[in-house]
Amino acid sequence: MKKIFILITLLAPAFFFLGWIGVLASNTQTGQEVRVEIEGYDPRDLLAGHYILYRNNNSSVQQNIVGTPCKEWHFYGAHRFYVPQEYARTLDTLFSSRRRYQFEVVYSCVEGRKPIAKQLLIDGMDWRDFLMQNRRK
Amino acid sequence: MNKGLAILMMLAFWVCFFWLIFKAIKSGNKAKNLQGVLLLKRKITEEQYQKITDFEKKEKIKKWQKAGLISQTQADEILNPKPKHLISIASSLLYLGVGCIVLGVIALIAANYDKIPPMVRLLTTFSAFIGCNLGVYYAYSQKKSLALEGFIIASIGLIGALIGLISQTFHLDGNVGNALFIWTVLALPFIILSDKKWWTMTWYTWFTFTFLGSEYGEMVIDKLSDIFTLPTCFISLLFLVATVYDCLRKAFPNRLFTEGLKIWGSVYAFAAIILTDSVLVESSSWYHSYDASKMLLSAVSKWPLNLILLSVSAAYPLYKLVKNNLLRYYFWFLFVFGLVVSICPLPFMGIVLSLTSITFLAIYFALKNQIRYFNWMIVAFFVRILFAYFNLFMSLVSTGFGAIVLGALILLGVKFWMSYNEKLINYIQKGK
Repeated sequence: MKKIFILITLLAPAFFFLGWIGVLASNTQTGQEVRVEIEGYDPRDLLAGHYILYRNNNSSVQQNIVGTPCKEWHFYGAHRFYVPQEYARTLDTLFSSRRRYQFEVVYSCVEGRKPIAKQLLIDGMDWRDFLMQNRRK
Repeated sequence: MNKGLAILMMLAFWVCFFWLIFKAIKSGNKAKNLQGVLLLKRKITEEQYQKITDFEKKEKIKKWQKAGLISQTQADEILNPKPKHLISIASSLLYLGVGCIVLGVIALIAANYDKIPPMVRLLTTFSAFIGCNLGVYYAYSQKKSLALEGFIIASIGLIGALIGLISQTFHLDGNVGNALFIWTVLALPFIILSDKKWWTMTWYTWFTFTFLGSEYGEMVIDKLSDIFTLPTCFISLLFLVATVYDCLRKAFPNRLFTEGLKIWGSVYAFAAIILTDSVLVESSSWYHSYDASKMLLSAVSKWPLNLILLSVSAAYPLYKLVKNNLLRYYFWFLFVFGLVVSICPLPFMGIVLSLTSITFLAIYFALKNQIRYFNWMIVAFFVRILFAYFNLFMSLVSTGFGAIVLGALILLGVKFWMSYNEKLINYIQKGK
């Protein structure tokens, strides 16, 4: 009995992670999608280059969350979108010159939960497809 | 009075005060047997005390050996233990090897290696984590100390890696302090299973700082003066930790963890009193801004859920866990005090807590017939009132009238102490 108890307690962190991943994955898959334009932010962070640090455009948020479960205050503040190391510099450069391109993030909204960022769009295209297309050009 | 000087005097006062408390506890703990009492009363020397204790120990071991409870080898090991090294060479290399592996995993994750799909990355790291957990269980049940250390380090490292990986996969933008706190909490089962004292003590320190630095402590340290607002969540954290450990201690009877919890809890609770009192000196508008209801209950923000959680978390585990009577009664006192102020916030909270704490300790020492420490409590009570007087009437002290009132207070205090000291002790002891 004691051994079973020890095993269960040892695996408690594993159960926690399973639950956490499950909730996040479920929210990402089943939530209502909201597309929001993003603005830049000056990242001064040890991990700069492996994610884009951005702010949501307030007017875009107010316009696009109508009829969704998302709350406006969920979109305040600085947010991150993680990108692979090999593309980090390119995306960082593109993002710095965002006046030429429209950057948007697609969020998944679930009632009572913070929205989760699903996709990064550049001029309406997934960032990977956009980079592939521009490389060909 | 200069504010910096006031703070220094306050800190000096409390350092002396708690030095006396710990001396009292230490002297109380030593006098468990006749030779302890003799040593305390200076009837025998330390050397003589040690000789008597060693002789008694040898006699006990001989008895056990005759009764067949232990072998000759075991008896020799108890009486002539081998010298312990802090960290053996094997342990050092183990830490290095496992640390490299874990750092490598974290570095791979940080590189966000896109060629591997995110869910595959998650599942792989998660499987490695489960593997390490099973390794901990195996090493613990087979009593393999070195393997246990290695698997524990790997498990704790992979917890951090998983938190980072989940944040990366789902683009979470949480507070770093929160992530560190979750990491520390999830490492708890592994720390309890470890047999290294320095791991346990490090965990307690890390846990305290990550809690205070996270949003869960409701106190994010942005500037130095924020430290004076921290005591409002101290005691609630202590109670919650004691509850969790009490639930786990039957499965994990780790003496190191219990000893660590006692030391950590005592220092933690007393530090809360000191910092609470410092708020009085630091802020001139403390009696308007100090939120009494947050004092014990700020870890959870909703009432009456706070009361229920406090009752569950404070009463049973502390009573079971804290063996030292003084500390046990003091925690009960804090529990009752917290319940009272959570229902009806009191004005002048800082001084009320200080004075009631001192009164509680004075009564305790009187009941234990420790007259010297009782007298010191009376002095502490009186000096604390003087400090309050200084802060409330700062400008008046510099005038002639203020100085006269102060002098009169001091004389009255001395007169009271000289006249009623013994009567007060007898009165308290009669009520016993």
